[in-house]
Amino acid sequence: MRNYASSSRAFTLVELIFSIALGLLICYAAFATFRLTSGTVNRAKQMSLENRLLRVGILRALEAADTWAMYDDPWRATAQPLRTTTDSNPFRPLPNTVNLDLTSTAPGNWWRGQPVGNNVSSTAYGCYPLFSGLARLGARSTYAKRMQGLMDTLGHQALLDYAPLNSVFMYFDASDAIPAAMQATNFLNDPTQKILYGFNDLGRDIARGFRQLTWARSFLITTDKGLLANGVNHKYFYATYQAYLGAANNQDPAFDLNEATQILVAEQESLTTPKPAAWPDLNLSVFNNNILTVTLRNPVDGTVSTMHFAVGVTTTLRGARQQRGLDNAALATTGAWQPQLPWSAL
Amino acid sequence: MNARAGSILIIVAGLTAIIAGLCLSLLAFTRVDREEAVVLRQEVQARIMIYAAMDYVQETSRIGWHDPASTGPVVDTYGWIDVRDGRPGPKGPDGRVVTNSDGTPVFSPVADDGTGGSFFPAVGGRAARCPMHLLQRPPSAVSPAQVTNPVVDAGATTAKRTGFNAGWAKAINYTEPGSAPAVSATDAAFMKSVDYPKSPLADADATRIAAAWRIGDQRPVMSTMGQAWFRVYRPTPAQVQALPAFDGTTKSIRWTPAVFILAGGAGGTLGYQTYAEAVADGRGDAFQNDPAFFDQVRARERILWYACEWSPAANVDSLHFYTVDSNWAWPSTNAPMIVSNNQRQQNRSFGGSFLWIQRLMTEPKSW
Repeated sequence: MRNYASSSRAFTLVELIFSIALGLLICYAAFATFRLTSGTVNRAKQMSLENRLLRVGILRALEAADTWAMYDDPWRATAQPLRTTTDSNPFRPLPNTVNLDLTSTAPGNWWRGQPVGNNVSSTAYGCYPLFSGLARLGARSTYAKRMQGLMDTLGHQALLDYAPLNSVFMYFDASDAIPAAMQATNFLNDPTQKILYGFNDLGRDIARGFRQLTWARSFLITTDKGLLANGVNHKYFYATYQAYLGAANNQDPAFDLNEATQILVAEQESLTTPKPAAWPDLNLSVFNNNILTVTLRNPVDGTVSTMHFAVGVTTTLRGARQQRGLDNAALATTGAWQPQLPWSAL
Repeated sequence: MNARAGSILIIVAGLTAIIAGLCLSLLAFTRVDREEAVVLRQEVQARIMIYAAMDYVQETSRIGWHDPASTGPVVDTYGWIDVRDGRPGPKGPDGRVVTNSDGTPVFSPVADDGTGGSFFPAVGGRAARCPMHLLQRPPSAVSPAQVTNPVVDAGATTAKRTGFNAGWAKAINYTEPGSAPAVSATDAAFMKSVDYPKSPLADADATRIAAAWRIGDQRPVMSTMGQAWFRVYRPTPAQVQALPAFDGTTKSIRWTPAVFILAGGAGGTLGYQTYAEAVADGRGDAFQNDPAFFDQVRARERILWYACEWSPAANVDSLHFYTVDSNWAWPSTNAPMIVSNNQRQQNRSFGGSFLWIQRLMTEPKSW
């Protein structure tokens, strides 16, 4: 019985082969299942990380738009290139000659002039510098001093930001003439021959509103070291929509705002430096503190995710300057608000 | 018991445990992602509320208030700084301080400086609190249902009114405020009888339906309750001057009667600043009459604070001249858009605009 029993617990060669094959199959299936599952989990982790970084990027972009910190870092004096006083720069302290009382009822805040034909040498329709301008006294100079102070100190982008929506962007200077910066074309080219500077490309003495000034163009702000070193002055800095204007309108055909958006004046910030090698690269780009771009590059599979969005309601330039107390001198001389009757004398 | 069968069971059980562990890990990641995404959703929701708050400032500069001297319940007003006398508004057409629906002036007509009222829009009055849940049908809503917009040829007398002769010209010549001129009862009956079966004009229920829609169905959509709110506060000069700059200094903002402090929130406090404020409104029950519960809800909220200054400036397009045969021309307002550099839509924001907007990085003392 013992011999029989021992022989009954043995197995044949066929059984051995089948059992080994089945064992290998089970092991392979187990390994494949484990590999697939762990791969799925790893991918899920990667996607989770990417989603988390994108969320961080969006939140950072919104905060950057609210603080303008990519243009002027309030906590690092070495990251404040737009406070330089050699040119017009949007983060220079505002001089106390600028009156910041923009109450619409104050007669000193009203522009006096013609829609067209404001050249002092041609007074067929009247000589309006007699009523308002830098050469006049008291409230008759308020409008001109504000326009001049904002333009010469902060530049045109700031001028558009500060002035009420229905402002007329023109004033008469100390010699009763329209300043060249608000009348004539002033084309200067940077070394790339692509950047245009100017305020009134038609070279006429017509009064312009916000819509006309920004038609097919956008006034810009940049901290690009190369551009600033090459003489970009925010007093005149703008780009045009080449698709609308074309070379026939005396615009540089090689340049348009899309190019500026993508290449020239967008502020860049890496949000993942330093980082583990396998982590995605997260970059933030801000154009004119309005168009925000969050870009995610995955070093593992090379995929790039880009999200563009514009912030409609965010801190304006004047708001950003108030966050930094840059208007305090002008506010001190402007004084407290008082009711101003619209029929009071200038 | 077969030893080999047992070993297979152990292997399978082990594999199943590993896979289950990995799946649980995946679910845990997904859950964490979802929870973290709530932060972003609340941030966006709070920003949308700031949009709404700014719309509120613009709209209430012109509409929504009552005038005791007027026969109508609501009057147009003249801005947060009245353009007629340069003093704080809103004031009605006769220059008097407007009233709330109960007839009380919104601020003291005697002082006439914006102060003296308990609630918004008085300077220093309690903020306007606007929980932003959806209503089943808001007052004066417009149905997206399409019905015939009748253009009647008033001069035609035949039964077949197939053309748009004099009536059409009248309808599009810009002398009428809308595209549909007033329709007489005769015309309405005719339209209903001939080829305008969907015209609401002759419908016997039109008056009743219009009245019901004007009132609206103000029951809240429950799924939108406790999601978002905004507040608009009209601060005093001292409160504006106390708002800190980044470096902690003050007096970096100039007060005018048109400066506002906005709060946009994503969460369930219904826009109450404190539990005491909710109790004062008789809404302590919304928070289980428990200040600790209110604090718990507040802790889960995202709130953004901004300051801004309103301006009556309303015309974006303003001056834009062009030449026609060497003569200067000015585009007409509200002309239809054509493909041209010289003629375009003239948008107008009747609620005014904003001189500046500023994010307040810390909670202001008063909002």
